[in-house]
Amino acid sequence: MAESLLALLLVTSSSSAKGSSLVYRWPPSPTSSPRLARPRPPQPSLRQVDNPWRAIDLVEGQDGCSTVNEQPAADLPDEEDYVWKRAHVTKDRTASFSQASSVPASGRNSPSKEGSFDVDRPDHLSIRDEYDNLFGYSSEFLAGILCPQPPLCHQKFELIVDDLVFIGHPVCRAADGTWRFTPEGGKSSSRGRGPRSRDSSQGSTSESTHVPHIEEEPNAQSEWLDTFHFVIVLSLPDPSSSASGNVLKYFDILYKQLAFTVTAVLFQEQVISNFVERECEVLGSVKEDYISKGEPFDTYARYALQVSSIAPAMKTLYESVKSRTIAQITIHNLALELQLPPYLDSLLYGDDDGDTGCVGEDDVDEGAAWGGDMSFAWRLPALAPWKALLLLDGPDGANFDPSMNLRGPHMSTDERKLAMELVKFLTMASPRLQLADMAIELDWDLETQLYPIVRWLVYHRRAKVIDVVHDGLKSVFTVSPTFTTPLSELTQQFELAFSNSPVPPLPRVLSAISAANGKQVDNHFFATVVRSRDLIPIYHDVVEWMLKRDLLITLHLRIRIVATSDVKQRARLLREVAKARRESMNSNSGGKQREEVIADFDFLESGSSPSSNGRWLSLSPKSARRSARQSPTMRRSTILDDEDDDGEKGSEEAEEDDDDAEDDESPSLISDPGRAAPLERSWLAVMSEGKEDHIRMRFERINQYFDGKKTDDEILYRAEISRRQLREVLHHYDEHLQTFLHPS
Amino acid sequence: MTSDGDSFLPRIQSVFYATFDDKKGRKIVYQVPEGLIGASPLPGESISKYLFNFNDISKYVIPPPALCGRLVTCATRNHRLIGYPVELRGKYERVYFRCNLCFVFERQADLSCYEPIIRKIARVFTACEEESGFLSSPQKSAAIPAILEQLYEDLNSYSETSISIDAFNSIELKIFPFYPNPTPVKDWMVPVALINLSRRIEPNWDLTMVKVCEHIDGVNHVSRIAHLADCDLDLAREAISHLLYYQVIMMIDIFQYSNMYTLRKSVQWLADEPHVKDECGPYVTRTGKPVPDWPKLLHLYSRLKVGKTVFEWMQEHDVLDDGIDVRRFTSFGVIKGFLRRVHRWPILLKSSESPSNGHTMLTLLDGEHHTDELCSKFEVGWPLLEQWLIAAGDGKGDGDYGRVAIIHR
Repeated sequence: MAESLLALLLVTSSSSAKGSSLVYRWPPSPTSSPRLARPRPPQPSLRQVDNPWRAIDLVEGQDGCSTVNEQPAADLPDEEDYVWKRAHVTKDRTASFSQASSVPASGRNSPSKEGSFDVDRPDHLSIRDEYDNLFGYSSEFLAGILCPQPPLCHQKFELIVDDLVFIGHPVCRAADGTWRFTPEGGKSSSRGRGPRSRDSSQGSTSESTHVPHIEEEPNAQSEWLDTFHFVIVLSLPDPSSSASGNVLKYFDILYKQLAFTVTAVLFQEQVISNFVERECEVLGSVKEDYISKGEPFDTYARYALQVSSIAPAMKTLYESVKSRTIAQITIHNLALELQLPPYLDSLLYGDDDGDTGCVGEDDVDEGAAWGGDMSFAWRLPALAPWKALLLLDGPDGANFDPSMNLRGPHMSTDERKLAMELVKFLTMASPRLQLADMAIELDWDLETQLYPIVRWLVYHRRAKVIDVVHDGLKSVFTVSPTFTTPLSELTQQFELAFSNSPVPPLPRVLSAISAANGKQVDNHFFATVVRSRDLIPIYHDVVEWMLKRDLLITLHLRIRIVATSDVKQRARLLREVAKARRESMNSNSGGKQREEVIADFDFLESGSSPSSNGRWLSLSPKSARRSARQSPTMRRSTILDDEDDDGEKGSEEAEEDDDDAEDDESPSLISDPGRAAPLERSWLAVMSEGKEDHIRMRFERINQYFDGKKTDDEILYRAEISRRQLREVLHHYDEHLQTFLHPS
Repeated sequence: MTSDGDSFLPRIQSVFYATFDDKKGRKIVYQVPEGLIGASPLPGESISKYLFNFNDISKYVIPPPALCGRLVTCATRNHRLIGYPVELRGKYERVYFRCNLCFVFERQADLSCYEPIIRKIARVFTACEEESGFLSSPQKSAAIPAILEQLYEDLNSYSETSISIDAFNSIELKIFPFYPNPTPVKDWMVPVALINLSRRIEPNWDLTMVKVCEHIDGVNHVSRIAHLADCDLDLAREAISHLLYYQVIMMIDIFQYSNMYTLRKSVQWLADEPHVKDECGPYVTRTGKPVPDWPKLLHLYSRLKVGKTVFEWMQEHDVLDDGIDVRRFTSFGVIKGFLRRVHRWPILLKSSESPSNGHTMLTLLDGEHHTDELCSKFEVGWPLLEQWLIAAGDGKGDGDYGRVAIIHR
């Protein structure tokens, strides 16, 4: 995660004698990724021997051929020319112009050394340099540039210099010289929003420290600190490897998840107890001490971890981000949990064809249930009542022990009761149990009680949300198109996990699963792999094992309704008959138009030409109907018998839908049966002709879900029917329905 | 392919030129349009009428020497500035002369395509200053507002400009839309043209590109194109990757009757899209045959499944009788993105008795190479490769590969 992260810095500024300084950084000596100053010739194979220059290159490349691609800084003199080097501004600025694209072709070779003062003190240089030099800049200079003017404080800070990106949220003291929360937007929100710190109180690590702080009298006196800024330094990602705008989105997530949260806590502690200033003083004096003793920077950096709480927090944060784990840091006894979305780095690369059955970035509705933090770059499946929960192994490989937090003596009875319920929840969670059913069994509210726990578990990577696995393993799976781990490795792990069981090797299992989908019947897991009732328990473990590693994707049934030509014709006839009948009864209204319609009907019924009104002769039945529809009263009567309570809206829809629908009677899909236009409703009614009453009623009740988007699980949940009942409907309405089996 | 914002260039909100004044320090000398950036921090003045206040960001616009000669992007609450501060040394009153020409954009703008523009302007200005003191002499620098004006108008309106400064220097700029790098081109991929390539070919095109373009027909895969065009495989890959970069082709898979396809999740909304349901019929039907309706076609798509070859599917649904061109039928789904090719990934299970004899193909049977890759590598079709796999696994044939397991994914 965040492969581009180079370092974390804490800089401060003061209007007094202290000036700007870089208080702490981790890692001690960050390096940025190697870059090219100009493109290298493409591949060794393209170097043609007939080109003299390339031929020379080829010969020289012989000894180091294999390293050429990975190691740009290989010891070939030629390669040197391609590698871009950041200038060490404190020493020699001319080198900074080695970046080809930035080199003004002439006159930029000013040889003078300039800028920093350190240059003049060569005796102390090496140690000083170690402390002072960061990415080729002097740390004092960096601190100065990273502490912006007060108007730029209390907002997102972004500075990009060549290949380095600095992101943060600088904060400063108020105009009257005190550190305090101000009511206006930026600051008050930064105080309240320690999202992870609140979450972590659920994790029972630090409930006690959070609350009393707020009650303390703020505005502890600060002496010199004007501004502090917790900065994330990134290596600018190659913009050409991702779609436009993604890089900015990437920065934004790092800002929100890391910089903003850490700053919020630091700011609060500074306001309440002058914490940051004290820390900075400690770190500053230790640093001076170590410099005067001539100790290397590394020693200082490690010693600082013991005397301050910001320093170890920065170290932990950096290391967790690099190792893609959750950072559990403590700043001034406040526990924080920070992490980045697991798929953040994929923002930097082009679209992979992710068909992994997850919420796409554009699926706002589905993502919404997860809440803001987890809706982006998490690639989570929709959180819905018909899903199930799969508990994952703990980070150390051990199973998640639900009762581990219960043993402490500190809990009141209420808390203990809550904890017991939590344990019950965790023991109950199973891939075979819908979340909705869990809520019922626990007597919890789904949205307000169950979901938050699911979110917490998923956020802490202790669980994932999956599709329910059938008790008898009659779920239809397919193999995920991409594996995150090489198959050979998975096979070995699988062997270890199921060594003493009759389960065939993993490739066999996967092969059997993937070959099964082509079959018309018995394409589910039980029929293709398990085949024996006795083996169901062990195969439940196998399925869980594979689901944990994202090897399987559950396929879901989706249903669409097709209105065939027959249905449409039949519906039209019925409609016209009804209309004609009604109008002949209702003799005192609209003479001429009524005749036309009856004529139209006769024309269709008998095939003979209509008897009245010469205008009809020139019109085809279709256009005649269209002309009839020109009159509003007429249109009203056409749809009247299908109208229910939609009133005006319904008739408007009918107008639109009629236009393209009636123009041809070729088969079409009813794309949203739940909001079917009157015409479509008449087709649905025709489909139900001659069906048994209870089947027809069930169809009418559930056809709103037959839009090709709702999965079978969802339909069963929403309509509260059994799978058998659904199957019955599908069977009876077979000719009018299309089924689709694909991941969700 | 990707979001439609790709070729959309962000609009320049303001162009300004700032220097380090010998007496007043950092200041904006000229800006276009005028009065957008507040320069004077008068206490009573409302900030809101400005985009931002220059003093807030002046240290990034005219920075200390360490940042000069570097591309610097900084941001205010609602805007993003990009500039290339320059420091020149010479016979100036303060020994150095610092200046910067900056563009201002919306905060959310993606500035990748403006980076070379900014660098080039800085380069030309520097050259002019060194030759004739263009920036520092009061008479000559009077030409700068006109240049800013033209940059602002031309780049926003035409995305290119040509401004002649003096007899020797001019600024020639063109903003190129930004495209992400294409995915690597593999030998077994099939390029499909999204535009009429032959109409675009010009005499001064690269020769390999011209030869390669002739063979892009949605059927030939890359190594076959290289063979047909009689050119180096690497060069063919390069050429195709170039076309891919400009998004005028896209890559699909080799069509074979032994292929397998499956629906992707996106079918649930694409099936209702007019650009899918209206284009499908005419595209997939052979000329002269009646065009089947969309529900019928959709039904056929829904019957393409993992584990079922296109051939079996054709047999089952009498596809040929409907006048459907099966190749176009499948590639339509793949291009629109609701159909996915399912590859066969053979894997040779280890056995105790016979150690692998080290044949290249056997080493590739590790579940990480699919059969299209193997077919194009060994230049055989699937039927023959299937026989090889059966032989490799000591299977009986007809779906039994012995020790070779085939995973469809």
